[in-house]
Order: sequence, then structure tokens, then C-alpha cells
Amino acid sequence: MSERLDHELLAELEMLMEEDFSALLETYLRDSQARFYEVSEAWEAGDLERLRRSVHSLKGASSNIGAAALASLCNDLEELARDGRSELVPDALARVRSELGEVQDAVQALHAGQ
Amino acid sequence: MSETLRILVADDNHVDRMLLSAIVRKEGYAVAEAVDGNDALAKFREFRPQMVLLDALMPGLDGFEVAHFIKEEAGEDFIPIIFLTSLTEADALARALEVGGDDFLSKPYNQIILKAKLNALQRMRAVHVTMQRQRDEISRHHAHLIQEQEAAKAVFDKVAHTGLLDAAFIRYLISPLAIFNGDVLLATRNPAGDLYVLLGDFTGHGLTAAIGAMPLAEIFYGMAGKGFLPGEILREANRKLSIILPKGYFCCATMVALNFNKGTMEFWNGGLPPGCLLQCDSRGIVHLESTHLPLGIHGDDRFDASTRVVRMAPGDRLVMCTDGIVEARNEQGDTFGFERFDGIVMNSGPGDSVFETLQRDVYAHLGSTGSDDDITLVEVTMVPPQQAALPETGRPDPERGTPADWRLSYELGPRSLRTSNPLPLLQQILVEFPQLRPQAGAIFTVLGELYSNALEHGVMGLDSRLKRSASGFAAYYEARQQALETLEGFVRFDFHCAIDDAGGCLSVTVTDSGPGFDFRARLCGEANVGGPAYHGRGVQLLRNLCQSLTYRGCGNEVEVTFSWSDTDV
Amino acid sequence: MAVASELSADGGELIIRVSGRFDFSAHQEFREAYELLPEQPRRYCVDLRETSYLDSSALGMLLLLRDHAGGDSAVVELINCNADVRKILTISNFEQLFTIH
Repeated sequence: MSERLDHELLAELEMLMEEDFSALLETYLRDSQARFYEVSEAWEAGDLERLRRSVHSLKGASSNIGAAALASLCNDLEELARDGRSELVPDALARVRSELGEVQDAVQALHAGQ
Repeated sequence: MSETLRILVADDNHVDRMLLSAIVRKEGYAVAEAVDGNDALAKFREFRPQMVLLDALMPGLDGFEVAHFIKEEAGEDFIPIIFLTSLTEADALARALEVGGDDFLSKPYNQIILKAKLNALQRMRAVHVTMQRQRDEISRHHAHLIQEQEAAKAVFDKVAHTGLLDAAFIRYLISPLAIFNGDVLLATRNPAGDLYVLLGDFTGHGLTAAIGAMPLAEIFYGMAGKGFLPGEILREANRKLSIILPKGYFCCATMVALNFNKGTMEFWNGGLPPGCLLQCDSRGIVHLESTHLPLGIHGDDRFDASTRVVRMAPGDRLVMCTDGIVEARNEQGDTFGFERFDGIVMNSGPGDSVFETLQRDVYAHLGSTGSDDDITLVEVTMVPPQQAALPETGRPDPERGTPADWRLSYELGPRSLRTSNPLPLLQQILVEFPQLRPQAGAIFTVLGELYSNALEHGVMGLDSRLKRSASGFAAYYEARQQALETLEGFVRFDFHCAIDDAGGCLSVTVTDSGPGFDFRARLCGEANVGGPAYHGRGVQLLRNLCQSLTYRGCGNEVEVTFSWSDTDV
Repeated sequence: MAVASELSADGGELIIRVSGRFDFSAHQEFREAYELLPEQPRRYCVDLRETSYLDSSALGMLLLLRDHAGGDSAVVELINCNADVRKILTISNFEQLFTIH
């Protein structure tokens, strides 16, 4: 397992959620995908405000399941969108996409192990 | 806490919502979830949570708007709101505070921190609920108390400010604001027509004052109506109050009795500021100084009921107040003072608005201190006897009048003469006969005069000429007081009453053990002076009040008659 | 308003000093000044030097002290009265009950 996820935090969440833990993981997988789809769509539509909101939401959920690196990349993108620095968005967006993929794989693996 | 607290979790992010709900539920709270702002408001109304976890950024209504509605709908209930937002967003933080956010929680959610915050807010909420309950209880109690006080005040006013206060020669002012300022003002006429006024000020401004007023008024009216003298009424009032009032409570009081026929005023002051008697002929002022302890301090054995008598001619005015006026303080802490009060009274003319002037000056003196409005004032003006006639008691009911024919002899020996007053008893007997009632005022006045003549000039041998000067007047009453303690002799009343269908006749003979006087010479002399003299035996006055007056023997025996026929009553 | 009290060295006299307005608000403190003593002193002295004002409830409190001190056999002195305070005591004829200096 990579350092993508905070396993200590996830262990705590498992204790907290008990039988709902796998549902939480599933929800994250589904929601993060949907949020990222919204982010991409907003970027294509040139709607920076909608992009900011969606990536803010993705950041929150990601930080909560212990994906600190992804949350940090989301934060970078959120700030760029807020500051209207469109020229830097494509790069940041690509980094979020790549990290999100890795996080999803890790979560998927964790879920499969349940 | 037996009741399960309800918490609303509003976050549009499904993962975050699941986590929060899990934490909150694990802490034993009941949870409702809302997926966006509109849903949050709907769930708030339906679920009635005691606390709310609210995401700041949500589609539709955002968290700030939702918070605003929640706080508004909660009214004075305390519904803590924890905003789910990053502490790094200064703008959002400021807005959250502005709409009434009570705490913040940032992501990633930390179970321990959230638990701590929930506990802290829960304690705050419990304090708030307790405070609210206590406040409601206090305001309920308060409302109840006010209601009771108002009811008690209604009773108090009926008892404490009653009687003859609407008579033309009495003016008074009682501050309307104070629920109970403890001030009592009572006025009545005794059977002979004397005006009795009692101004009292109970310690404290509460129910104690009201409670004390009841027996005081009862004693005052009851005994005055039976013809008891001021000293006797005060003695009984003091006896009763010293029994019922708690230690440390008492009643400062002044009682005055105006005798319109004689033009005199008798007074007793225990603890009130001196009343002012304005003598209109000399424009002099006589102070009714307090020379006694207030009522209710000592028991009967130590009570001093001795009164003073002063002249009060028609037009003379007496102004009395309780201490509220003289003790009114301005911003510098100076009292209005008795000198100011005195000056205003002294410079006022008959019919002047002395009350209005006093009131205006007192309020001007108080300035912006907003002190208690605690003013009780009374003014009594002496009028000639004919203007002070007792109101007609109406025609006797012929059905109730029964024929009568009786004699009564009542003789008082020295011990009775020293200590008791025979008039109330005799009056009680006479009022049993309805036919006598139309003349009761005249009969009682004449009885009173004859008795004091027999006692003072006959038995004690006091010289009425003393009363010709103002200083002699005081000396006379002092001598009377001394003579009373050592006198020997008797006074006898012989009544003969005959009543039939056509009318009736009452004759009263008063005999004393004194040496008598040369009534033939004296009566001529008095007639030459003319007008009712306030000294002497007041024969002129007596003659006006009855059908006949005859001195006999050596002048120690006098007979008066009252007669009437049923057709001319 | 403040109430201070002091027992003489031999414990025979209690001096109670009342400063400011002597009215109902002093009720509790004034009572405690003499009620909480383990032994009752022979004499009481109420020092009114610092008392600016005295109302009828204060008169009531003085009566309570007198009663506590033995009623008619009590030795209670009121000292250092200013003119206003003196006037109120005089109108109420309290010199019949207390030794006033």
C-alpha cells in the first residue's frame, strides 16, 4: 500500500462505522468519480466557480477518508479557480486526475479486502 | 440526561455526512440527515433538533442562509449550530459568526474534537434551558405577585383611604404610583360631629403595611363611630398593632380631632413630621410636633395617649404629610426638608393650590434622580359649626319607632372619672331609639359639653377664663391633665325619655359634686359679650342645640330637653 | 452602605458602624453584626458617624437590636448622629428608647 491513504485514520473510521465501513468506501468511490466528472465538465464549460465548488467538495470527502495528498492537490486547484488563474488549471487538473486514480485503486483494494 | 437529544446533520457531501452521522450517533444522539440547504430547513422543522451541524457551502440555500432561518425560528430557544468549514477561510468564518454560528469544525473530521464540541454545546444548552425555565418561573411568580398585590391594593385602598375624605373641608393627595407606600389616611365624624382624621405611615412598603392598616382602620372607624375620644382610639390602635406587627415594624401617625362647635383641635403625633396649623387671623403657624413614639412599639402599659388641644378658628388650615415629601432627595443627596415644606404652607392662602405647589417643588427638587414618588398630603380647614352640620340621617322609620317611657341614672365616681369616658356607652343606649336619631348629633354634642363642664369646671374647679388667651389655652389643658389624676367627686346623668305616637321628649340632667357657680350673673355676662365664646360653659351654643336649658341648685345641676313631634321632624 | 462591627478588648461592648445609607439593604449585614456573636456583650453602641441617611426600616432594625439586647433592660447607644439622622430619631422620639449622643 502506498502513502496515499492514512491507514491509521482508516482504521479508526472502520471502528467507528463498523458494518457501514464498506458502504462508506463504496460511497466515496462513487461520489469522488461523480465530483471529478463535474470538475471536468465545469472546466470544459469554462465555469470556474462551478469547478471551484465541485473540487472543494471532492477535497472535503478525500480529506475525511485519509487521502491527504489528494486533498492538498484539490486545494491547489480550488485556489487557482478562485483566483481565476485559468492558465494553470490544466496542469493542476491533470495532477488531481492522476492522484484520484491512485486513491481510488487503493480504496478499491481496501474494499475488496473487507 | 434521560431525553435523547436530536441532532441535524446537513452536508451535501455524502461521505462527510455518513461520517458525521456515525460519530454523532455513536455519542448517543438521534440523528437526522439533510442533503442540501432546502432539505436542512425542511428537516429542521420536521425533526426539531436541539443542535445542528451545518455545512457552509451547499447547493440551493447555503449554510449561512439556513443558519439565519434556524436562529430566527428558534426564537429564544438556544439551538447551537456547528459550522462545517475550514478555519482557513476567513470570509466564511466571519459570515458564520454573523448568522449566529456557535462553533466550527473543519475537515478532516476528528472524532475526539467533535465529541468535545458536542459536549460543550450540550452543557451550554442545558444552562440555557435552566435559565430559561428559571426566568419563566420568575416571570410567572412575578406576574402572580403583581396580580396579588393589585388585588391587595384594591382592598388596601378601600380600607386605608376612606371615610369622609370627600368632605368639603378636607383635601388630600395620595401618590398614585406606589402600590403600597404604607401610607394610611382615615377620616370620620364622631356622633357629636367632631371630625377625626388619622394620617399614618407604616414601616416598609409592603404587605406588612397593608396588613397593619386593616385593624387600624377598623379600630378608628369602629371606636370613632361609638364616640370614643382620640386618646382612647389611639390606645386601642397601639395595643392591637403592638400585638400583631412583627418586631421592628411600627406605624408613625398623627391623629387630629376638630371640634367645630368649640373651634378647637386636639392632636397626637407619634413619629410623623410636624403638621402645620396656619392660623389665618395672625398668620402664625403652630407645629404639631411629634412627642410620642410611633404606634405599635410599646405595649399598652407604656403607651402615652396624652393629646394636646389648640385653638382652631374658622378658616384656619392644617396641612399634614408623611415623611416622603420632606425626605425627597435631589442629585446632591439633599432632602427637600421640613423648612421648604413649612415655607410653602405658610405662604399659601386659603383655597390656594398648596398641593400643586408642593408637588411641583418636590418634583423640581428631585430633578432627574427618579426617586420614588411617595407623597401623602392632607389639608383640613376649620369651618363654622353650621357648615359642618352632620348629614341628615333621614326620617325615622315610623314602623320601627316604638313607644317608650324610661328613666336612667348613671353616676360616675372618682375612679371612673379619672380613667373612663362615659359618652360612648350613653350614646350606644340612645341610638337604640330610632326617634332620637335625627337629633343625635345635637344630643351627643350637648352631652359632651355638659359632661366636660361638669367634670372640668364642676368637679375639678378649673377656671374657664384661663382659655381666653392662647397661652392660657395650653395651660388650661395642662392643668386639666394634672387635675384629672387626683380628682375626687362625682358626675351624674339622669335621663328621662318619653316617646309616644305623636312625638317625644328627652330630658337630661347633669349633676356634679362641685360647688356650682353664680349662673344668674354669669349667663347675663356671657350674653352681653355675644356670639359663641370658646371659653366659659358654652351656654350660647348649647341653647342653640336644644329646646331648653335650665341651671338649678347652686349651679351644679343643669337640665336640657330635646323634644319633637312626628309631624315636624 | 456598609456595616462593620468590632468587639471591645474585654468583650463587653459591641460597636457597630454603619456607613452610607442605612436602609433596608443593610438588613442582613446589620443583623449578622450582633447575632453571630458567641457571647452577648453587655453594651451596644451604634456609631452613625458615616451614616448619611436613615429611613424607617433602619429604625425598625434598631428596635430589633434593642430587643435582642434585652428590650427595656438593653444598653444601646447611638452615637455621632449628623443633623439629618438626629432629626429623624427625634421625630420618632427614639430618645425614649436609646441613649443618643
